[in-house]
Amino acid sequence: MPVLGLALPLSVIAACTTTQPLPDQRPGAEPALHTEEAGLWLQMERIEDTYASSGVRLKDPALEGYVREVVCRLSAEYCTDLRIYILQQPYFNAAMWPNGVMEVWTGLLLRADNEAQLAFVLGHEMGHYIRRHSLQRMMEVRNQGNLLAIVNVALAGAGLGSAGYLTSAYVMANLMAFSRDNEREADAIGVRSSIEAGYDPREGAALWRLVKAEGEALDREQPSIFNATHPGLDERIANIEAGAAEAGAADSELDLGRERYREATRDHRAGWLRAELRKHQFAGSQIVLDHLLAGDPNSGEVHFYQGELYRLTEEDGYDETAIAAYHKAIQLGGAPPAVHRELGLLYWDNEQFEEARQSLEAYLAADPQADDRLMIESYIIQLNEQVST
Amino acid sequence: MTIGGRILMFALIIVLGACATEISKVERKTVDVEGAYTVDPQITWSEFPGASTSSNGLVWTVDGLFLQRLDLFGGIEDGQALFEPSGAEEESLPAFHAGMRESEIQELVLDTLTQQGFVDVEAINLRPADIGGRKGFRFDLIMSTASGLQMKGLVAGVIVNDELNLVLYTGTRLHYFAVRQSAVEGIIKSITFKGGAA
Repeated sequence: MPVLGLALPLSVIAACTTTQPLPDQRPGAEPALHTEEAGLWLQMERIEDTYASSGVRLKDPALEGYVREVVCRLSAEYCTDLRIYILQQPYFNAAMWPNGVMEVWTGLLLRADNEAQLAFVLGHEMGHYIRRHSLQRMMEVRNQGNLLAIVNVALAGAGLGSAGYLTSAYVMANLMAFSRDNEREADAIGVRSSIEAGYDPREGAALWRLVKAEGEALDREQPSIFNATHPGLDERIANIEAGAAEAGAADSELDLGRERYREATRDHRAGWLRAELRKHQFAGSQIVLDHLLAGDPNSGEVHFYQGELYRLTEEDGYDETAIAAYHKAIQLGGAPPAVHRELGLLYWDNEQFEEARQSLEAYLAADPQADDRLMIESYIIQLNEQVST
Repeated sequence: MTIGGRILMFALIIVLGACATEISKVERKTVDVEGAYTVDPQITWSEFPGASTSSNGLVWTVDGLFLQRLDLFGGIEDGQALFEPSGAEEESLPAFHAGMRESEIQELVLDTLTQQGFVDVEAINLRPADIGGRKGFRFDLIMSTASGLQMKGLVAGVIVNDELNLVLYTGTRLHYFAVRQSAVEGIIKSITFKGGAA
């Protein structure tokens, strides 16, 4: 049978096995016990139980409470159904489970510049919950699997079993297309819920631009249209901006919530920045730091981590750049005491012994309980010898 | 059995053979670590050569690798990471560089452990130490596994001829770290470099 000859029977059977849209999840509702949705929730609840003692979970009631406030502002009727878990994962991500578990990764919280950006992502995830996308995808996988089995048996009966790879590719492409449609729908709900809550939805597009720039800096390949679970970032950005323009809300009415966001995340940002650098994916981290410095140019803390990135990249000539960043961090204030230690060690590398000694002494003065005090004191003794010779 | 079945069985044996780990007892009085130094094991350890993901080292345990693990690294060269890459997409293991200071090696260990999936990895008490008659350093570790198991660790290291030699011992905070700690301290004291003390 010619390849094109497969298209017609596949299309006919596919039409018969297409998953029909489900009614929305009702606020406060749980699936009936005899349904496959109840089974899905039960599986999810078993995994959720492990979060109680998980080392990855960031257990900060204040931060969880803040994220919950944003969720409730987006949707008062669904917010009590959702359970929020903040996970210490230094990558941009959030996830929604079918049973109301909402995962928010710290890599997302580091990258968001304001509450409106966080709100867009949370609105998108809520969209998956409201539209019951997990259940729909499960049903779609089952239906497409049935299609695959029927067609492959028919092909084998006709002596064309070797054409099975074509039907597998067709089914996989269908599943990916279904997933992309779910994501488009969730983006649209993210835009709508942001506007209804008074947030500027265009901030969602700004966040996607950052993710796109980071991916490009890391030479991360975009999956092809046939195997991508999400639409391309350009399409998503355009859809968000179109949705925002269509809603036509005036700029003056829209809230960014930048100060609230900074206040809520202030105590964690240094740890998230350190986790970002520990990935050793410096080209991407530079994009993140550029983004943070653009929004908060007078942060000594961010300038310190910029210096740390320069130091860690260890390319010729970067030492001076790191020293400049550390000085800027000290001048602006808000950098951790370690800025003096790192400055001192760089001076030492550059054989500026007196400056090195002064910086290491400044470190011990700024952090008298430093847990590396014994090592730093041994460095100062060595530097004293260097200075006196 | 059909020819196809035999081929499948043969392939299965090859695959399983490749996965098998040949665990052996460490009963020698003196063990050579990558030609860089020797140690006295103090007690009988189990060695996991197949499970070892270290590029230049030995992996020992008594009670099981998930409960307690001793990595002995010898002669890590400039540009070399502590462990072989696992192949994970986002992994970018940091490498040792000749000329690194102690605080940078501490950072190398923390970044490596974090990329291996440990959480809240912190180093405390970085301090100078005599290791095998050379000027070395030590520090302690606290961290947890992704599933929330609390862990402790200790590190002892020294750079000889621009190569890093490192002892990394980790175990569960409850019981398994402490139960072999004195043996590990004995191992660190027994380190003898090929060229002798500096």
